[in-house]
Amino acid sequence: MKRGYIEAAVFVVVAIGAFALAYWLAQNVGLHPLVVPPPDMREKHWMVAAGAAALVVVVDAFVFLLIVLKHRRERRAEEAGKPRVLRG
Amino acid sequence: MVRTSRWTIPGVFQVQRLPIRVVLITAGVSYLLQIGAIVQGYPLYGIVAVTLVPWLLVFAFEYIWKYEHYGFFAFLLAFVLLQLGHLSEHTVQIIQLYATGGNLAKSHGVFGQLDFETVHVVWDTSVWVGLAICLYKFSHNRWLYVSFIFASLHEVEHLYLYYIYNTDRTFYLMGGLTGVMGYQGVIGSPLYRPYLHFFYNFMVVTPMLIAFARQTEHAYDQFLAKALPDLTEKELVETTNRLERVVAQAGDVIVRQDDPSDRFYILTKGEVELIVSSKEGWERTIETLQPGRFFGELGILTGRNPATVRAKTHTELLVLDSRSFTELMKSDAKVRADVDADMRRMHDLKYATSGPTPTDGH
Repeated sequence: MKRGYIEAAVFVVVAIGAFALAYWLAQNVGLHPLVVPPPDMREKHWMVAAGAAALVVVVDAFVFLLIVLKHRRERRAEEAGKPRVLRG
Repeated sequence: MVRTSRWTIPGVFQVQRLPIRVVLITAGVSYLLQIGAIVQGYPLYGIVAVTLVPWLLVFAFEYIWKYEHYGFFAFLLAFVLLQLGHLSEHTVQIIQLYATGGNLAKSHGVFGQLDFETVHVVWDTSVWVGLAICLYKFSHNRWLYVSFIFASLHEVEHLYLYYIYNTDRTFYLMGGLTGVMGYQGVIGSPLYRPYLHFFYNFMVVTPMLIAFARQTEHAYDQFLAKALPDLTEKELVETTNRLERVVAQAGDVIVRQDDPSDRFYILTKGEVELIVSSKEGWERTIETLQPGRFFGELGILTGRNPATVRAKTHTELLVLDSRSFTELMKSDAKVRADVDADMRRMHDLKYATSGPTPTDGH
């Protein structure tokens, strides 16, 4: 349990550090040439972004479903007294 | 001649398949090629490429060996290394941006020729799918879920960019390349694209490394598990880290009958034959062992090898010293039962041999 907290703390610190570095560089170094879409075009492809997100969500949901089924199989095997499942 | 190499824990992080001299020679060749490329005035990507080329064979041999012994964990190891390389590329790019005052034209990482959308989407989709496979395989590892979620967010970004790149090049060149979360993108953030993607990769790789460290604690040699199937996972992992690798060529005697014995052997590749001989001079092969079988336990427990073991082909074995083996036997009744059963079988085979048969050599 303690180790889990340490890992979570490391992750949070690294995440904040990486974002802070990226933000600092964006503000102080910038990007040249910086080309950004005109405001009227910016929203043009939001449906594409939504479609990409939907595709990824569907695939992720399928992966999670497979994992749930796998865990169910493992639990049933354990209850039936079958040989243990190693995680290595 | 039987060749032995010893490694300390954890074995999975070490070069286990190839002798250390091969690694040193590879390092030397790589260094010479690097110097040559610098002297010849190669661009940065050329210097890095020729430096890495000699290592490819080393990595390939090691990877195959590790896959044979550690199973899918070897895939995770290779995957983590590749992703670290990818993160390095992004890190080099932001260093270049810093050094050039944010000049994107001069900041494409080491392999700048590959800095276009098709490569990005293929790589990141591979990472996303690879993580999904790892997650399914190691589904009790929570940090893989974190890494997978960030890889999914990153994937949305690249699918969007790839679509725009192929269907609306004008918009792409007018700033569409900023993507979904980039500065003034569809959703937007304060981060310009290179800095955003550096952050994305950091968020994928960091939990992946933590997940890998956790998974290392479950990594054990599959041949050990096959030979002693009743070992607990903890025993498998601890014992794996005490194993030595031994290589023998066809005809090599691995242990000799009646010699003192202090090692337990697990066959991982090739075939060995167990031969008993008598004072009268006859000898007889009582069994041929295949990978996954073991020998040497009777010798440890009685002090003398009951038979000679000779390699029939090129053979690889894992070896456990007698102290570790004895500790294992003491600590686990099921393992004792496994070994007892094999010892009884060996005893029966040996004493069923009352003399030479017409086909045996004298």
